[in-house]
Amino acid sequence: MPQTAKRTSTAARSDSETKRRKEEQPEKSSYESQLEALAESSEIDENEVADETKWERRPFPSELGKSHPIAMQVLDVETYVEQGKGYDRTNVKLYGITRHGVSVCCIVTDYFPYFYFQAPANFQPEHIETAQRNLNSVLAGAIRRVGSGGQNLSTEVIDNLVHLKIVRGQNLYYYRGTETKQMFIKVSGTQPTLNKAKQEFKNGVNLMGAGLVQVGTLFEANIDADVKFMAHTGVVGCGWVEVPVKKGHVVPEKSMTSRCQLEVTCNYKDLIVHSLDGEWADIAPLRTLSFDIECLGRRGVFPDPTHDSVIQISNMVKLQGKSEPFIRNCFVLGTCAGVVGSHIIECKTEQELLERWAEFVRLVDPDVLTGYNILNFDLPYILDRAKILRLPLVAQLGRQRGRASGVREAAISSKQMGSRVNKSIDIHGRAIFDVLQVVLRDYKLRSYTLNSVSYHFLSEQKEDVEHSTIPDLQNGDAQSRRRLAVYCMKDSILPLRLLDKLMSIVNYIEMARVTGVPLNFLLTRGQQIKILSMMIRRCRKEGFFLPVIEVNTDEQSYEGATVIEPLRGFYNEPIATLDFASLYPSIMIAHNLCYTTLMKGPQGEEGVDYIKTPSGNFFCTKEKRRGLLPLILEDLLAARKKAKNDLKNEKDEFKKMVYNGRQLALKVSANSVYGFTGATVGKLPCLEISSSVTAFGRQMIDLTKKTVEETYKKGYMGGKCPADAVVVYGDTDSVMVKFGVKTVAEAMEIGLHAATEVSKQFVAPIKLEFEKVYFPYLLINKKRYAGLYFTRPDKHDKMDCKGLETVRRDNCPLVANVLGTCLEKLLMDRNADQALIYAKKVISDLLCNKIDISLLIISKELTKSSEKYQAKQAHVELAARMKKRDPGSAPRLGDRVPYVIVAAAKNVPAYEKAEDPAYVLANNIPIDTHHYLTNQLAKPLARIFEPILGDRAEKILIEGEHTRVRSVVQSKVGGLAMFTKKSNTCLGCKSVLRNDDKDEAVCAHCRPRTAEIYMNRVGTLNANSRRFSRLWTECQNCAKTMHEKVNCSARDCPIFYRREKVRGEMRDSLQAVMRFGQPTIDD
Amino acid sequence: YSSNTTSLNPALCKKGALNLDDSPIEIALDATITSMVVEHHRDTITSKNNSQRFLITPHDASADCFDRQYYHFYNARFEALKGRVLANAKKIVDPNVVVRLLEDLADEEMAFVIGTIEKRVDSRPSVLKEIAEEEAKIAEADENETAACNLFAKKDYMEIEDETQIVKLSGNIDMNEVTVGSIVGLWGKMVPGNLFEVDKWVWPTAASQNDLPQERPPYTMAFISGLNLRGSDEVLAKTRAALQLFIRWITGCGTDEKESERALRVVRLFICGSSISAPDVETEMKEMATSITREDPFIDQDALTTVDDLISILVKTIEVDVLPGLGDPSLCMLPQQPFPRCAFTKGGESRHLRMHTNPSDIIIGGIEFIISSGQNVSDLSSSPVEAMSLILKSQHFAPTCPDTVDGFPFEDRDPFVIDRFPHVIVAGNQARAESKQVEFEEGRSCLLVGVPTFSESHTITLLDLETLEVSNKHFGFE
Repeated sequence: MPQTAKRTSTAARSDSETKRRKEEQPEKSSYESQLEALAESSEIDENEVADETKWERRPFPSELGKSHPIAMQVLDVETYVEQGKGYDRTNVKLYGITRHGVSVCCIVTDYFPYFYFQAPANFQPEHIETAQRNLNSVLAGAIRRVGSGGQNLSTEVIDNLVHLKIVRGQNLYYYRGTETKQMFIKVSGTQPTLNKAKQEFKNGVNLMGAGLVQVGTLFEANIDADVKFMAHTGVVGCGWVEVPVKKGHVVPEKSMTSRCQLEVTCNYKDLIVHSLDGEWADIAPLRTLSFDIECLGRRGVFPDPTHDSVIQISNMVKLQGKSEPFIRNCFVLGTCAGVVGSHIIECKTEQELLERWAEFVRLVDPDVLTGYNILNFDLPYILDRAKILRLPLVAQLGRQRGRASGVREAAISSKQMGSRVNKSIDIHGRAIFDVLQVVLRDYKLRSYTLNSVSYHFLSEQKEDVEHSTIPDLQNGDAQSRRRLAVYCMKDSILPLRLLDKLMSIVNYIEMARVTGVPLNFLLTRGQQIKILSMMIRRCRKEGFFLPVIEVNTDEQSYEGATVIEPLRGFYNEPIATLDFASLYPSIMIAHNLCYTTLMKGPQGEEGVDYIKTPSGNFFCTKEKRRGLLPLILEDLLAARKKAKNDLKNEKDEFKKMVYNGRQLALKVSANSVYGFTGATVGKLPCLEISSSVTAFGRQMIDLTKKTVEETYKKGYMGGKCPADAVVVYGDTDSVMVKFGVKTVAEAMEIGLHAATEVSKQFVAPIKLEFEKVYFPYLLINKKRYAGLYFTRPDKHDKMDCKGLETVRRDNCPLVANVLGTCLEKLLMDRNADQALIYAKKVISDLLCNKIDISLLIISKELTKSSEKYQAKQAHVELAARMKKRDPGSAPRLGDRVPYVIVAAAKNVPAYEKAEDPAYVLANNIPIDTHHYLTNQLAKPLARIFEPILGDRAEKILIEGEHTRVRSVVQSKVGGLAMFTKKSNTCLGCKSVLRNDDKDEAVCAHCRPRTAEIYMNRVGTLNANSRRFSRLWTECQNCAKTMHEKVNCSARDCPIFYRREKVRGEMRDSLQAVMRFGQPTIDD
Repeated sequence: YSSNTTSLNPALCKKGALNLDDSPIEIALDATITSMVVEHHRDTITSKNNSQRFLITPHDASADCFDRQYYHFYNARFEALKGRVLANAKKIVDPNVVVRLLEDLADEEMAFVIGTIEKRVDSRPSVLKEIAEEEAKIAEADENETAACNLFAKKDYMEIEDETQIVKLSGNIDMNEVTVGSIVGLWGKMVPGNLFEVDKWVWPTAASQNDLPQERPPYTMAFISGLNLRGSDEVLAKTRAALQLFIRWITGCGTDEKESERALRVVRLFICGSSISAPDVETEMKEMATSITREDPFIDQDALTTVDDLISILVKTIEVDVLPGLGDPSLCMLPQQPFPRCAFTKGGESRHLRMHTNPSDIIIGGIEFIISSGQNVSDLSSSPVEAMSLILKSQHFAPTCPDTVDGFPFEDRDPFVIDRFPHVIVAGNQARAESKQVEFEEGRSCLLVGVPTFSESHTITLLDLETLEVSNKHFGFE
């Protein structure tokens, strides 16, 4: 198409022209001066923001930092060492955004990191000078030994390496029976010297001029400098700080060290930290850049940065609070036809592409970088590629001038996530907010591909282009590359949509504010750092120091929560649920459980001076000393109450989101304090606390059960109780009670009464609450139950299922599907018979091969190559077989391999029975229906029917009458297939048609039934054609084009196999109908 | 139009073998009534069937036809109509107007583009959405699920797709004035925000129209649609009773002589689809998503037998034209193919029976008709007249096919493009009886006739060929 080529070149020219024009005119245009005038108005003009060639942030008014204070929301914190006059310092850089979107780097000076140790017994205040001198000279010696330029340290420098100061405070652990503070010594200096000092303290230091002294445990020496800085100054992640007028010094542009618009230095004492109320609850107009790269892979191999070039990078930039991105562009290698609404930037070489992209990032100056799996794929790939192509500028994506971003491997392990290795990348001053990480952390899903996640949350998908088609598109023409660019851009817009939908940014910002840690920490670090950050803030206020606890590797464990043995069954009557609200936090508050109240043994009078917990530990009472943890928890709970209240009263939708995010963050934080004390590999383990907490919890559940069953006897409450109450089940913080009433309303009345009565037995703030009634209630086993959930007497809220593992990934969708329908019949229709009939029907259909193949697909991730797996695994073997068939479309490392289990001879091992669903469809390979029945359906189905049918359930289901009829499919490959000859058979009785009849639709015998047989065939044809039309137009609507082919090969899309399957069925059924005669029309 | 009701003459009923008093509803459409049919003399009228293009040829249905996707279909439509859109633009926008490509347009530059209209409507029935709902049914409730609002609710919008681009529309647009899949020209400009701001809509030039014959035959045509004979409920019983009355009337067995005369003027009876049963699309969609088994669809042989009986009676006295419709035993994708005669054991071979495609293009007495079973029409609007006007404006008989009306995946043609402006359009299975004579540019005019669903209305539609007057006749005990 010569026409196309011409079009493209004009588009390209105009792009570069705009760019050149921009470069040639550094002086301010009138447009920019207009902007300046606008800068202070909070309304951002949509049209002006929508100019996509305008990448830079708008200029800021010159008064900012001079006659106007600088208030900014803190996004990232980093410490760095500055060589100074006389002594070095560790400064802190706060990166943030003002309310009007000006990016600011605030260099906070004169803050020194520190740690403490407890002064030795005979240490006197006058020893401090000796100690400091000796310590400094030992350190200088150590620095010289390392030889890092320390040879010519001036005496002035040596004297100022560290500074010692006497402070008074207490060790966080243990109540020692006195409130007197002890003498501690604070060691402050730059971060590297502190590290050296830690080493020296291990060897012993001559502190009092009388030989080496061991100081024992250091305090707070294992806490990151930035966390300590934030705790020290009160700055919280994503909170607002202000540099007052005349206190900050604006750094002139030529000596700026950052790429922010404005750089200012300020003494840490002058920095104002705002609390998060009123206008300071706002979120600045953050710039979020979402991007995605496409690589030119080779057939069958995962892209490798040493060989495969980057061919496209798409970018979407959005302002926080806006619904649409204002920059949409794509950097492409080679020519590319334009995409309306997006800016295509053509590059001649990959070098040019990467460098222009990096320049783009620096100009846009985003606060948050996002995308899907950018942390482990896109960013490392670009950085690796930059290294290989020797493009140092490409790695400079952060806000530090001259600093490149590097990639490290970082193992993260937490109870919640398991352990995994992530890449760790520091893009100085910007937060990396990978949507995949967010989803992995917060949601349990069947599949985590972008496609499937988008489908799950947005009911929207993208066209998933097979890797093997990418080189074809890239090596095609400007139009095919345009197609690729469109896909690529979709991959960068979806993460933004997901963030909006999940409200992740707002929620994580609130979490950062509540816990005080920077935004970056929330996705890259575990739960502990959040609690630690809260602890250290509180400790500072109350004069406690956090000891460095040696990590104890031997697994210590303690007894967990209690579970009341379930009285399994199907309850077709209301079951009231009594819950302890925030159980563990309230136990800690009620019983004053804390590090600071822990006692080594009883002292004084039990109940007055101390308590003994059910686990046999001792804690002092709050009259003796109020614990820190209870205080923290009380604050969190009170703050949550306030946030919920604010949420209720707020009218503005955006602020509602903020408050909701905050109350969630507070709840999560309060609940994780208990886990923090129980983490033996953590920074501050204290099993005495955690085991006491669970022991109290167990005691309370038992007491609740006893009280309810003893009080709510038949006739109680003026005859309102029709029978003796029975606790049918209880777990951790809730008990389920059968009061024997008939209606939800009655259950609610008694439930409410019971909650109030039983609460009286417990110490405040422990409170039993009545929340909901299940009716009916299917109690399957411990932690497994389902029921209709009522919070109002008239209508149920939802169907609630716990522990049914319907989202387990190694189940095929059929399981979830059948369980869902059975539960619906059981719970909503309250018809156990129908549910059983349905389950049997599905089993019978399965055995008769009537189940749609898309429901039988199981998928597993191909995590390592086959040699590396110890035992042979089905999906790995299949991947190897597929590679033999077609290396291009075979799954690669990291892909999910979808498969079905196909029938095979008896002695064929299970791992050889997996097959590609597409191959199964194409070749009509029979499914191993028995495998699906026994390995997939039987157990979960039996589980929900056991409460009704008893132990025979599984037997009834898998061996009943309905399992007698089975049908077998004739495969087109292997076995006898090659020996069979295809000849027309009668469409009625399937007998082979011979001679005269051979072109007829039916045999002579069936001829009288022609109309009926025809009807049946047309019926099938119509059902198929309906599917064909609806499925393919669905794909077309999803791909959002009517003029172009749908290229999607998203195998985890629920309609992918359906639509492929219907093609074959449609062909067969149309051919059958056509045998009744070519249609003709009559005049 | 006039409408009147025929009641059975009780005297006649007693005379005949038919006993309506005992069982007014359960009447078998068989020998008893057949024996009563008097072979009145009825004139015949010649017709010409122009529907070859609606037949799916072996070329269309080649072995790989279902490996196709629908984009071929849209491209064929675009190619067929873009020239006509440009021709019209030269008339109403500017004689020198040229077609521009969306990707070449600079902001604020007035330009003319041609493309396919696409609507992104949240309420579009979607298998995917149904599946998602099904999956969500027992997903474990997320503790942290937020009750908070979705700030950026999706809004419905319209797009235009030309050869290379898709762009959102703004400005002078009304979602109800245009359908998905129409080929239109737009005069307007790109504005910031990447919207195409529409100033003027340009439809394809209307196809030329042959003159309506001055001398028209003095006969009537009758249209009946939507018998929906499947099942066995009360609605069906009423339908059957009304059908009985209709047979009596059309065969001239009534007592009212005027009515008999009126009935005998009817020379052609069109049965316009959904004789068996029109399926509920929404339920079907849901079933498609939720059904886990591949059941062979339920076939109602009784319904087919009843239709066969009905036809075998009717062909004795009148020439019958049958179109397939939704739910009938014929490929449900448009264009639907004629029933094979073997589907009707009793009446199938009669020379008075004509089998048609849906839609069907027929010339009767020099008047050019497009007759359909109406799924293409009812998909556009609940008002048949409004819907058919839209069809004429877009010069395409089924713009929403294949998007929301099932369509055959043609590769190189779109049979629904209107290339001769019809004199009459008849659509069966409409929500209500409605008709209107509409005028178009340069003296073109067309009579739009919506035939109601018989099982709901017990009404048939009559068209007087001489006067082109439309009347409806109701049959019922009410």
